[in-house]
Amino acid sequence: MLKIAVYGKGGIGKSTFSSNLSAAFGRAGKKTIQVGCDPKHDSTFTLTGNLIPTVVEVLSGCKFKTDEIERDEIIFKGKFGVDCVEAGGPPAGAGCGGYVVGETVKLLEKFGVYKDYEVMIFDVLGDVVCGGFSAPLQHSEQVIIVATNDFDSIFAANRIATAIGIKQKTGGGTLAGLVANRASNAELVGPYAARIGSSVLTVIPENDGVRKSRLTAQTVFEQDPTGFIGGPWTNLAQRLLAGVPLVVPTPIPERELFSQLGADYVRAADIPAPAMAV
Amino acid sequence: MFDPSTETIERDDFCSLAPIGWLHHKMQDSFFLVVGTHSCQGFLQTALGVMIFAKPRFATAVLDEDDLSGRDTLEAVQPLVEAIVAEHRPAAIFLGSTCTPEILKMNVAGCAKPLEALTGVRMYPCRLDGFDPAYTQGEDHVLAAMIERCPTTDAQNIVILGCLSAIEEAEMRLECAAMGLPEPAFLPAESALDLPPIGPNTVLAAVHPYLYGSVSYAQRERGCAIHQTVFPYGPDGTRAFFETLAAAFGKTISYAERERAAWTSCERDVAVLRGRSVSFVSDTLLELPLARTLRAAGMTVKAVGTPNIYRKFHARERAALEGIDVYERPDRFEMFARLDANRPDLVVANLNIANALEGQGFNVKWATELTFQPVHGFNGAPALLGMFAASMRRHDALARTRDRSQTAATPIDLSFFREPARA
Repeated sequence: MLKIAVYGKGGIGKSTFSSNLSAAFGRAGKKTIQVGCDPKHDSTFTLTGNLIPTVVEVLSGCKFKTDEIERDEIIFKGKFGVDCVEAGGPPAGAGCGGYVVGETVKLLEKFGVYKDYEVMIFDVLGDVVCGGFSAPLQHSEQVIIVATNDFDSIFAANRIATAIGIKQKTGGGTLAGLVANRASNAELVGPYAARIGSSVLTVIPENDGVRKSRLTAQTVFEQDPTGFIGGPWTNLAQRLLAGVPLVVPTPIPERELFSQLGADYVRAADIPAPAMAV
Repeated sequence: MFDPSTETIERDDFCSLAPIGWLHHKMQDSFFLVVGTHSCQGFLQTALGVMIFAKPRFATAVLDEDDLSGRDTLEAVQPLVEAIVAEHRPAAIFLGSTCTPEILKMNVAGCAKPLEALTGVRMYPCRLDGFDPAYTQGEDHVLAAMIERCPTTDAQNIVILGCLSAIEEAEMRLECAAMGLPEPAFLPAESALDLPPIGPNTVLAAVHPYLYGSVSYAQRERGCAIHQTVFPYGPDGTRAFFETLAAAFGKTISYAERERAAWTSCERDVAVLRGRSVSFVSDTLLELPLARTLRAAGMTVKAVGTPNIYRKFHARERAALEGIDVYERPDRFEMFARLDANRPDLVVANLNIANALEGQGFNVKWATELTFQPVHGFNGAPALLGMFAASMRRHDALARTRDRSQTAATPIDLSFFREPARA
């Protein structure tokens, strides 16, 4: 069973990436579930066509008696046979989103979800901000960090790598690799990945079709039925099924990373697009 | 959608740390290490201080500011565990996570495996916090952690689930032997390492109504069916419990005569209760079987409040209360209004509310006492009924010695419990 957690800077494209990856696994005939771990609950809508009820909404409706909940109240069928869950969370400015995500992750364990599927993908919001949002790490085996060739997303990726290093001591997942999103190459993501002991899994080019797919609540495979835009996801799904090496990353001390990223940028002007791991 | 105006104060008693009291007493080679605040330790020290023991086998790893801002839990807990192992040499350590680590999602449970590998001492991770519907469910979480480590089996064996005294266990053994059933194993046993095998054919017979979590965990992980039974409280409950146990092995055995004999032996106490009325305030999750047996003793049950009714697990108890008003997680104010309207002769409630109710003229029995006394089975029936009868006798004696009747109707002044109306 593939148990994947997707992390990365807020707005970098994790949900887009995750839902298209789920679709690719579904199209490859694998029984897949995607778990949105974000109070914004906007992880799975391209798979379901709508914003499904969130776990916290359903729990509130039955006074948080978890024994009363049936699977089909929180797990919804999406396209390509992908099942979808949204943890949900409190409205902005209130409560503790991390707590809700942590509880959802535990509740799904009770339903035996972690045994029933061939592929499971946790799509986790923003940076790792607290214990609750790192709860998916406990139930996944491999982590994919989505970034792009800029300062902020790589700086965030480094913090996530730190969390992976800490969590793996108590059984958390380890790093499968980084994805350079909305990029034509991996000129900054690549060297960074190599430096922390990992590699770039794929480069996903900027494509307006992807943006449109989100606005029309479609995956890229419906937006472009030729499968061309979806190519990177289709290939990545195959690679992950074949197995990629997992590493415990060695994060870079933050002030050192700050100066290194600047140097990388200058160097990138001189070198050709760096090799991706194949 | 979530509607905050429908929120009720569902419980206002202590937390699931309380069962550490009877659990650490039962498992003589256990140590309970709780990760929590100094208030958790204060509660443990105070509550467990009512029992006199030579050396306490419980402690709290007290959180400080560094822990709240992200110190690695494993690094912080490890030296404490090593010190406990060196000083106490427990066979097993129960690693309890409380409210604070649960909300912060500190991974206390995740420390169990590495700590066990490091020290060679069995570690059972469990949640012991304030979020359970009833504080008795701390035992539920402890037992679920133990079931995870039980070996598996294909045999149709009997495992009695729930903390019992040696006397209660002896009765179970005797009856199973008399019925020609396999010798029962007990969880928990006197050693925290004594784990019975549990598999798909095991008859996992819970003796407490608050053990749904571990029973459903065993069903999910080991495949054994949820053994639907009445719980062995009172002569009627014990009869049904043994008959159901026999039926699980295809035997029809009647305990009618034993039940009759048990009622007869309790007649002195039953006579005090017969014809009087009782209501239950939602508290320990023991309410359903207690209401059932008090009704069988001849009391009129006016209303039963209970924190949680589990559809399958409580099915037989619920059926036995047909015709009685049962409220799941009742609204507090409505419950007071019902008490006022019904004026039962006896109210079963928690200590925190007992004085307030006594002040209003009610006779209150504190139910927590039942979790510390051997009240199961035919052997326990006199103690069980005796506790309620003693309460009634004391109340009657006081009423006779007072100038005015204790039971004169005093309308409950609810203003104390209500918030002032907002402007």
